[in-house]
Amino acid sequence: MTEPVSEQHGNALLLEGSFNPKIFQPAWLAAQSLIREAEFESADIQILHEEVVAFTIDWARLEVRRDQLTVLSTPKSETPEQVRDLVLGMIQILDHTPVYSVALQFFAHYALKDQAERDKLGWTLVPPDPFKDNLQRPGMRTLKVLGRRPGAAEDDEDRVAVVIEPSARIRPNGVYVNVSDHYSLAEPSDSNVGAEPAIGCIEERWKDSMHRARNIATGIFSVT
Amino acid sequence: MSPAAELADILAQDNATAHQASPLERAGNDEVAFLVRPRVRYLAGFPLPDLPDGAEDLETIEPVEPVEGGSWGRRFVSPAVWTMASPSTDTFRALQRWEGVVLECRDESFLARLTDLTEEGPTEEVELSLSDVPREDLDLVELGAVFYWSIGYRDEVGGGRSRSSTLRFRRLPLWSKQELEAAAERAAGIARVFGEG
Repeated sequence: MTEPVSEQHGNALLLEGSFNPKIFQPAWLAAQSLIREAEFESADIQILHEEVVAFTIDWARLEVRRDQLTVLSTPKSETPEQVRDLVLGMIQILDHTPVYSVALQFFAHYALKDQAERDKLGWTLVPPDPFKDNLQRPGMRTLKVLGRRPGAAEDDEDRVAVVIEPSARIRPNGVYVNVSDHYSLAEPSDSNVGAEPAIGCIEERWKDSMHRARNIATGIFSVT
Repeated sequence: MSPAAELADILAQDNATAHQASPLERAGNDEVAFLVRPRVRYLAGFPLPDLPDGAEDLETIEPVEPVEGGSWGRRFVSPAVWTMASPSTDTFRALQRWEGVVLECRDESFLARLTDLTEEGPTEEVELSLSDVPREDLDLVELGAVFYWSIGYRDEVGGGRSRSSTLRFRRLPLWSKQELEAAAERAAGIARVFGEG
């Protein structure tokens, strides 16, 4: 199967660390010129609380808890670099913020031609034989694969996680692929860590992560 | 029924609904919209409602209002509820994307070097009109500024589709480490040409 064209794609950055959620408000982002004034004015705020902040602007959704910061693209995002730059901007300004790990996530929804094509993909990735004596028409619902990055040491605990499942956005024959590339930077017990390692990680690993996600998706659709 | 008892009755129904409104499973693919936290109301002086498994009590965030028989307030309880992003929104599907660097600013245009973000290829130099730059990004157009140019389709909720070309200037507070290193490398190369360093 040639790789179908992705109908919708997006990306996210997830940081684990120690954050003060109340700082991360649309007004603050605009004051720091990280977003446009118009984006601040049209921000849709879900919650502003000292434990959690969550809001959406045109092209990104943010949620910040004490231990995690997530920025996710929306269907209106124009380029994945927007989300990356927003995260980089925030942690460059708050460079004293401890960040223990970074996950670079890329996902896409693909429209397959028909049910037969989707079934073929599912049965190739998860063969039905082990189930056929006990289940009628077994089909893959969610597949998660973990692996080390190519060239990583045997004892490297970081993983790339790939999730494949039916698309909730493209129905009836859509497939969703999510590749999450996780980088551990420090232990939470490390009192000296700031945001510098995370900044370096995002800048240096971004291109490789994105290409790897693309190659993984290509590999998935090439098996049938 | 006393007002307090009536309130307790309402609270019991409210809290049952709040618990039901907080499914712990994801609604769709692993894309989170934002956090929604159910509210549990309590009436001071009455037994606190049971919290769902794994929930943690957060402090009151709204003022407590006095009512006959006591006072009541609201508090948020977790865990987080991830809800599926609303599908009813415009979407942008990029066909081609470039990263550009401003080489020269002119009166009504600017010269830029473009790097293709969609496919490997040589860089190109183009002249772009300032009228294509969003108003709020005009202040960012300066020598060395980085921007993203995306061309694609914008699909509207109502079913319309239009071709779209957007420019967005990067907003970073500092030069990134990679940019500094690249600049240092270029400077070193130039210095070598002039027999320095």
